[in-house]
Amino acid sequence: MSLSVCCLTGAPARPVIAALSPLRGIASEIVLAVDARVGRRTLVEYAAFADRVVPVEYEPPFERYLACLHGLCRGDWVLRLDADEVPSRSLIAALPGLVARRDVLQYYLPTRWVFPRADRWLDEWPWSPDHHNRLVRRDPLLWFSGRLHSEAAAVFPSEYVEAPLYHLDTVLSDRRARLAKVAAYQSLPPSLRASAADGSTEEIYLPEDFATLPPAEVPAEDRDLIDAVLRATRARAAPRPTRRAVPERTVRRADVDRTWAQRPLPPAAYVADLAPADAHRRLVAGEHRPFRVQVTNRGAELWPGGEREPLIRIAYRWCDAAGAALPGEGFRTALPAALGPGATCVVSAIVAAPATAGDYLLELDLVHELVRWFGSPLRLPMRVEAALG
Amino acid sequence: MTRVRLSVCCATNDPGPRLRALLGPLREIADQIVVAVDSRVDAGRLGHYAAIADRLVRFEYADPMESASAWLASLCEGDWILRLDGDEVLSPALVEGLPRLLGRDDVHQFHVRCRWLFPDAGHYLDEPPWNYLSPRLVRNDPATLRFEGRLHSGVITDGVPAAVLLDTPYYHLDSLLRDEATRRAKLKRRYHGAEERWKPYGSDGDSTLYYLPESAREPRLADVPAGDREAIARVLDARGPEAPTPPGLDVPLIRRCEIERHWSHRKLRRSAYSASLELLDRDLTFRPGQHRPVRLRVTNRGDEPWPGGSLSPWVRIAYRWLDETSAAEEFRTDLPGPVAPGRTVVAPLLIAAPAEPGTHPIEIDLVHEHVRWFQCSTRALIQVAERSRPPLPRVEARPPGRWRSLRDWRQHRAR
Repeated sequence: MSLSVCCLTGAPARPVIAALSPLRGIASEIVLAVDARVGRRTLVEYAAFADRVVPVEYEPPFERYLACLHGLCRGDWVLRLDADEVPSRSLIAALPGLVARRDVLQYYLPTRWVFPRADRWLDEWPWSPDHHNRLVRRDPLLWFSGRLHSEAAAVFPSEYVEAPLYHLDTVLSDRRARLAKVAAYQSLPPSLRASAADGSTEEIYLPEDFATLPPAEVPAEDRDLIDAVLRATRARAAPRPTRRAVPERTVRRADVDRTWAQRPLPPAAYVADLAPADAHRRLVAGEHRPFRVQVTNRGAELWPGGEREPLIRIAYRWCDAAGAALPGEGFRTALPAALGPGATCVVSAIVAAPATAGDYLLELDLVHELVRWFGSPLRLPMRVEAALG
Repeated sequence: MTRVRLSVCCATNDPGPRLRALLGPLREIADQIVVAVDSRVDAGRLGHYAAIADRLVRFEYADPMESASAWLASLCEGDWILRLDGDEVLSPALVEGLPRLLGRDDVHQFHVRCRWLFPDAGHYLDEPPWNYLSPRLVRNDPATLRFEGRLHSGVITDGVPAAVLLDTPYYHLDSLLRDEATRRAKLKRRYHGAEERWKPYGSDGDSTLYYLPESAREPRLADVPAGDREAIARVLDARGPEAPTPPGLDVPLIRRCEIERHWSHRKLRRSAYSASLELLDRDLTFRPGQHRPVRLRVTNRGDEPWPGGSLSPWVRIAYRWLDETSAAEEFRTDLPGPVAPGRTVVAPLLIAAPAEPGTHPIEIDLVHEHVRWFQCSTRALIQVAERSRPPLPRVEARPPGRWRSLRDWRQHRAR
């Protein structure tokens, strides 16, 4: 099993390289997406270290880039680190065993917030426990909501690892910078915020105000790893590149957004063909049955399928024989897998037959939940028979 | 590039010549053919099965036959598994399309259209409940391949990316191979004799129709395409005597206890209910009414694997407050993944703190839902107290990560 290590960074190269260097012997590739504003010299520094350096047009939120970043990786597993994180020695040692497992799809890594200095971490809530879904298997189930503070969407089975990552933000950033970060998070539109974590954002970034317990000691074996990163932030001279490397072409924001689940869809996305895949046209009154519908994506956007956003599902309602809609909507059924532009799939739409026997029209259409209907319904005559005594 | 491998598996007591005929077209495509022969078949007459199988075993049969599905899959070594019953025929188009399907990396399952032949080999029942989709071709992935284990159930499909194969069906021959009386007896044995714990969800009205299409009101029939008729005829015409088991061939008999080890609805032994629990967090102070996780280290000291999540046997973490005055909610927390015997995992246990400040004793234990408690509990004291919240100074909002230069970044990070 191969491992890609990836990082989205806009930071100077040396500290990030110092943090990632201990993973060199384990990772089959190191992939960096770098905020293109850092400049040519920093990009070249990164390129001399990493296997792949891709400049990106950066615009918050950070999570906009997660699907794109993981899409650049080719390993069976992907470990993502942030530019202010340092893997512990125990985590580095555990990685080969973790990625060899076939019965787990994701690992949650505990983050230790280093504060108030490099040899202490905050061993109390809300800084601990603070697990992050960072080591993930590349699989059709891997998906990113792209919301603030979100990571890979949780899938079963997973495992919580005890070997930690160290988070250096609270020692690298001064109080004013951290206050600005809190304010920035709070200024984002609610639709981009993570569902539950925002309430504690202030506490998280201001431990000097909110921590109540004495910090725990960083184990001696990990101190030199953290010190190496802190030294690199202060270093003036860049190390001589060990190899000639050139960063790749800059990825435009429009291309990044094609992989971002929170992007708005253009009207041209809402084009589909629906056709019946079942030949029968009768149901028993009151019964619940799957009715198969062939769905073709005639738009220009990928529909991710399942319960992923943009959440596109098939819905139905009943009309009387004259075409007048009956009250109420029926169940909604997710697409069974991702459906790209031009592709066709079959959806087993769960349909509840009307309680009364008679002739009806079954009307099926696609809906982008909370946004709009596709407006290209399929109407089928359906005979509903009385249930046997 | 590594070649994708296919295992074909079949658990059967069907006649050897027929089995050989229905598996024959797959011989060139399958990397491994696994045949598990019901122990009621004469062990000395396994020649036809041996001729087609790469791996041949006998197994102790017991109802429901779905109890053997996970075990059968465990014998397969391919990247994908195609399961076929001894009374089924794949359409030639499905066989031909298999290599292309195995190359897809965007799905874990293919749901294949089933066609029940009735009343003859030239027609099939083209409406519910016979025209269902069955997840017969599945990725052999321990992380995502799971079996329901109930009567008439198969692979669990919820949340697993899948594609539907409508035009490349397989044919079910039951109503041609067995007369109505035999099917009625099968229905009675399979459904009416079933234990509650493995009965399918919902009504058994469909089951009666499944087995006895004669009881349907004018069922909708469709013609079997000509190319498929030939494939069906080859299987129906495959008759003849059983062949003796080749001399020296060792065909192991797999006992029921080994098969049930893989079955999600097995009864667990008392020795399964052994575990140790340890709270890892030193900070056990909550705000009144706060919901938050604490880390619990869980070791399986029993002799049965726990599958985790809401999979059966459904083993979860539960807690209760020991002070009678506490009226706080008590959540149960699924294990995040499987826990094999002897393994230790960490689980985030979600606790809802009482509203009343003070010290509240808590007891944490494992529970096998609907069955019993493990009685391996650990206890702790949860402190509930208000925390002071100093007012935040006013600051200028700046979206994170928006620095314009390295100099700006250094200032941003300045200590």
